[in-house]
Amino acid sequence: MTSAPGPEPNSATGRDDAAPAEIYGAAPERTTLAWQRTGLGVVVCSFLIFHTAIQLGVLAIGALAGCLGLVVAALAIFSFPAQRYRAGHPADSWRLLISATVSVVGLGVLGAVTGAMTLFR
Amino acid sequence: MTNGSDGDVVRPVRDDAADRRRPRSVYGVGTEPDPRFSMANERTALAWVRTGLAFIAGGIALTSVATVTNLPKFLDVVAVLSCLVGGVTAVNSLFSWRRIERAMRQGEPLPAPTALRWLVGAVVIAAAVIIGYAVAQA
Repeated sequence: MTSAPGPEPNSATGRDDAAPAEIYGAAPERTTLAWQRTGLGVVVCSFLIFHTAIQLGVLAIGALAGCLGLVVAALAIFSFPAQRYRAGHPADSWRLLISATVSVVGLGVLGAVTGAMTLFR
Repeated sequence: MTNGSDGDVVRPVRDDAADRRRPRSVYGVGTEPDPRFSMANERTALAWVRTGLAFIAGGIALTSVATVTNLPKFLDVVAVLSCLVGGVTAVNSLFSWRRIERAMRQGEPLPAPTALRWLVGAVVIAAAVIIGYAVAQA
């Protein structure tokens, strides 16, 4: 496929030499911030599960949650898209979306197991 | 840099690396939409993921409170269900993103947000249970 990513580069500004930031406005920045917020949310939630699991004395779940938080923190620093957005290219976001979703599903399972342990104590 | 004849609109040619994007069921159909719309779709998916995270955080908060106080068991059940709903909400974000991106690429109307009514229902039920408990304790 050889079509362009979206509208003609000069459609928003009326100039051929418009930079991506002029064409796409704050959308790349908003998207990058959305990724960072999501990563931060996963890290905070991991810590919550870690803390609760340690309180309950379930070290395995605490360790898993802690590791998950560290992995997502590393992803947020090194992999979450920013450069491609700034360049005006849509990121290959499927892989990262799957990573974020798997992390959240993992946290959901860990949280449910922690809750179930409280339930059956 | 052009893909048209003289007088056509000049469009940059997409590089090969971009053509290898996954999933092919999305990027293999239709034409590239405005990147702003793709980014908006991505932000919407991330908002769903964060909504799932909020459910999980709520469930964990309930569990955490239950460890230091004497909460009834049904609130533990609410906590477990909240965590599971959070996971399901996150999974829904993937399917929703895929559906919307495909529709945009094919120039079709955007699909209705079907999961939204389930999400609202879950929030209302969770709120009703917790409010009911608080009122019963008062």
